[in-house]
Amino acid sequence: MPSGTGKTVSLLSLIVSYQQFYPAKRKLIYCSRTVPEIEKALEELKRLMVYRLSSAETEEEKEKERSFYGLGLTSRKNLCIHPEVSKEKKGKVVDARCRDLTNSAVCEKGRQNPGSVDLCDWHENLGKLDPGSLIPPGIWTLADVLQYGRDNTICPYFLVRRMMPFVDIIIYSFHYLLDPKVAEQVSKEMSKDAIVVFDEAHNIDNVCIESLSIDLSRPMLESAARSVGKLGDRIEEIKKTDASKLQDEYAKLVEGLQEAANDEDAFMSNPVLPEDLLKEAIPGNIRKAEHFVAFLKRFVEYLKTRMRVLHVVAETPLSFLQHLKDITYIERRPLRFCAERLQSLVRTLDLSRLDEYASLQKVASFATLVATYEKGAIHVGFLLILEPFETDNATVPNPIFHLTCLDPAIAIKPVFERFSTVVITSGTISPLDMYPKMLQFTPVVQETYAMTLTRNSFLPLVITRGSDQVAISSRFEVRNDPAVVRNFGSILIEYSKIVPDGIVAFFPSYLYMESIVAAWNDMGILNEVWKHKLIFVETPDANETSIALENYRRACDNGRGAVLLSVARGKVSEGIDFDHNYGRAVIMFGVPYQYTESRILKARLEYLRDAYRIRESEFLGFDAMRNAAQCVGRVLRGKTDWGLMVFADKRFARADKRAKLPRWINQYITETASNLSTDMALTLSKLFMRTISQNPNENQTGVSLWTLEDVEKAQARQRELALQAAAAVQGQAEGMDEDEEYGDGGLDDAVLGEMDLDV
Amino acid sequence: MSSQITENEFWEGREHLILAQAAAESQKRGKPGQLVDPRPQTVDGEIKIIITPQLVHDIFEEYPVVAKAYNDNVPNKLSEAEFWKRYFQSKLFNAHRASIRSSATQHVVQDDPIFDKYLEKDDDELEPRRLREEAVDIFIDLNATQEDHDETGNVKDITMQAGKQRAVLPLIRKFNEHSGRLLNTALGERTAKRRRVDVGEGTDHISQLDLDDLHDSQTSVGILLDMQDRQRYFESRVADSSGQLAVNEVLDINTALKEFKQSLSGWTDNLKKLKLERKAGEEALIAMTENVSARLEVKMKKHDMPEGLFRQMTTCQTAANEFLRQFWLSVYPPATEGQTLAMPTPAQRTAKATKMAGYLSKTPSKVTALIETARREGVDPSRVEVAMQPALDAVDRALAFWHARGSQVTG
Repeated sequence: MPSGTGKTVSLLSLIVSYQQFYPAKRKLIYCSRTVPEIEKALEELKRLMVYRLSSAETEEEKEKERSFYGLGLTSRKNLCIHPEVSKEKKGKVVDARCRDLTNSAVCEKGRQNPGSVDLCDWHENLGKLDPGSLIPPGIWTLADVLQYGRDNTICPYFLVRRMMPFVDIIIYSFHYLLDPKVAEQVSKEMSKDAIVVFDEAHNIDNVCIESLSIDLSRPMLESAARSVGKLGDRIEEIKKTDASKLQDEYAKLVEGLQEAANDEDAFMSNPVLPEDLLKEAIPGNIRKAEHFVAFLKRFVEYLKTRMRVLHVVAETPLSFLQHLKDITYIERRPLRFCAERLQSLVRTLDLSRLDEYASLQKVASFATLVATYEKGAIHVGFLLILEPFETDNATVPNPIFHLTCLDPAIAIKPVFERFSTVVITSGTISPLDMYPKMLQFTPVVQETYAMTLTRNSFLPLVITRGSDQVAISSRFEVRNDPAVVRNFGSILIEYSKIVPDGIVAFFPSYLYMESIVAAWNDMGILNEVWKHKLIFVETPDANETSIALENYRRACDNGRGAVLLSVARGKVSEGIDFDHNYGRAVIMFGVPYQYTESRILKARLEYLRDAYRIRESEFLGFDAMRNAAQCVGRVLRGKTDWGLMVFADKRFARADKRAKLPRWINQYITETASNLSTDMALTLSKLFMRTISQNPNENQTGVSLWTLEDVEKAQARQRELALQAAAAVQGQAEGMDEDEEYGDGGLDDAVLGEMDLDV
Repeated sequence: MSSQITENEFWEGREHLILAQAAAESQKRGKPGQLVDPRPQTVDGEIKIIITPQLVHDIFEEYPVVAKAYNDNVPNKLSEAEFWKRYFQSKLFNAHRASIRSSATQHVVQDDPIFDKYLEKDDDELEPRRLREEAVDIFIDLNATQEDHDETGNVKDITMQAGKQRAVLPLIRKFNEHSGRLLNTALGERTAKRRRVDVGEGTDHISQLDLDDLHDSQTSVGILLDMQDRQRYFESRVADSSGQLAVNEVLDINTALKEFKQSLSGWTDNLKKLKLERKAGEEALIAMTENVSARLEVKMKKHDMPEGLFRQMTTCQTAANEFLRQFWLSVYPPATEGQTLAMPTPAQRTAKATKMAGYLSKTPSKVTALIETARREGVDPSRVEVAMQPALDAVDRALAFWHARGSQVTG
């Protein structure tokens, strides 16, 4: 289903009704991918609550609706309103400066003798309020919270963080639950009966993998080494001034006490999943601060020497640890506590500007991860890859040490184990059965819903060849062939002539987009496009791209019309809608396959094949098509909207490729429209636009809009069918055929996997 | 005629024409979208770039730095021709060219002490050189997502790293800037620095999420029919339907069906009995034939009116039309929308209507005069009469209306 069919609001209204009906007050954790989507979900929720309030009958019910809390959480960078700190461009720097102003040690000092240290007024004011009622009940979007913070001079970020135990709904991004480094800080207090929803979850496996993978580069190691040096200096200094502090820390570590410090102070947390958090004490050889620093130094040096190798190395964590032990005598166990020990030390030393220690933090996380997941049951879910050169023909070494997680199930497992209800949903989950396989769960309910349209409001077209009959494809061998480039270009020119307002074009990769933009410019193709529309291009910088996007929208509103060139899997393809006049046509230039020469991808494919019996080609095709569907799906929002979807690659003509598209798109690809040349596609497009632009005055009621009677009728029919089925089952004992109905979920477009695990 | 109607009176009721004209005139042709990219042409075997004043203007607008260089150096240090010659050979021009091949042509480019001063570093870093502080709408804020959490995971593979081809970045930025600039010339600058949260923007967000297909279709109220003598219609209707209703209630389907069947029985015979009256049929046929022959006659006839008479007739016709137009305009209730000029008061309107009625009453005499002239010039007067008849009819109608109204008002 495309956006605008009401997925989010249906889910929310169902769950809110459930929450309000039962006295248990289960919390809802609603995860989405991007900040715009979080904000949209909050807006929808706000409208929903307004509606619920208006239709509540008794005063008591009204009160219940009024006291409902819904908040969204994002980073300090997005929520900071401190006049200086918020100006920082990098999120890490904002985090560090914020900590400098708000950590408990500084606060204590500042409160004892005011003026001695800089404090954040917004944070201070928050502390004066009664916890649990920092903000009046209701639904607060991110923008609302910011405004509230500004009006009342309180810190929006800590407001949300401290309100989290009291809210009914919290909306944040996947990472806050899946990435153990973040989840440990943010989501620890969530109770087990919370309902977890992953919306837009078609890429959830990638988020899982990302949250457990780490890269180390040479500059990072240099920086880490410097940080270790600084730590050493600081320890010497503290020893002279306040030696008791280090003593205290040591004593605590001996006892194995988990430090009961304020979570908000946490500079980093353990990258390891909760189940692996050991209750044991920190090993003896790194308990003393100076010993730990020496230990870190040795480890960083070891990594640096490994980087000098000029050939590619791929090894399992086990062999890495073995080699490490042989060379440096570093054991697995202390390595495993690296991250935790570092955090404790940083806290003891009262360090400021922690962003400068980011590299060291990464090294520590790396150490902990390697040492924790050294062995899997049969298949090791991790792999270490050392790539000395960026590309195969590069001559200057730029080594990167990848620790790559291959198994998405590792990161999501604790979520399934901890929360009793998990819902995974998206408009473009297809094929359905891939997800339970990859994430290793058994869905309790698995359902896909079709989409009803009173008219064909979009037209998918597959262009396989140009007007000159040359086949077009983004296949690596032919993608830079001038004939292919020209034919891609002429598709853009012709569509910019006939399509009103906005056109969005997606390329399979940044590299390809950049080279084709240059080629088109030199061939004069873009000059033709300029005649009809403005051109905007996605750039490496997110902010710059946002401004280009805003200008693109202005051009569409204004009627000037514009073309946006962007990348599938890129920044724009996720979370930005191109509805109505913002996207009357989406052109997908080529199939968005991943770069198959990538060693990390190869390792992952191998792992999927060995562990889950998913064939390489199957996964690659699945991945390419879900991204293609994601791109073209942005064009529609609501049923009065319309748009063209152009798939320009001859490989889209193959039935097995198309079968992987979500059914709501696939069912509208006619046999004739699946193998077109550019001119034929244009004729069809013109025809489509002439019919669709007419007033949609037909009545949708009864088809895609149901009145109460329609719903009752359908329910009655369902009951009847159920009765018949029951009768049939009683009649004939086998009744095996029923399973067939659910069996062909391979093409379906949405999954609602509800997990009911006894915990 | 010019003496009889003032200019104002003439244009009254034709405001839309004036507005349309004004709108058409005030609408400037937008700037063409193409990038300013002077490419050398080959003329008589020589490679040249032809400079037109338009091109100069475009270059100055697109690259303010060239305008600055021009102001600094022409005509003191360089002549105009010299300036352009050196510009097109300079590194500055190559930096401005919308092509990444320019780096390949670097070797033909000469160092130029004057222009090299104006050279800026290529804008090919991952972050743009000019940082823009504008806040964007949160629904399209990509940066917020990027900063939502620490970056995790392995680096993207080589094809997915944006900006790997650094030479393309200035080009891409040029596209975005150029498009933005075109938009700004058309729409004006973006509303100065919007903060991410503006009061009232929330409603805007809701409207972005709103789906129009989920709203009830709203039917317009429509225009009420203002019926005269309404009472009569409705009374009879009501009486009628109530009577029928009463009958209907008594009626039982079977009997009704039976009756219906009976009334239908033998319809074939009835059809046979149907006879048309002969006279009426013939009359109709004759009328039709006459009509056809008359049309034919008109078609066959040449246009043989004397020039002078014809012009007089046209003038008379136009004048009558104009008077009629003004008359009806002042009689009819004023249109409520689209009127920009001050609305005339009722008194003014009546005065005008009277005036127009006066003019109109003179029309028949004018037509008689025309017929007279026609007779003198030896043209069949009946033709003039026929030609002017519609106008006369219309005038008569208007006058009749006017008199009826006058008597109503007085009486």
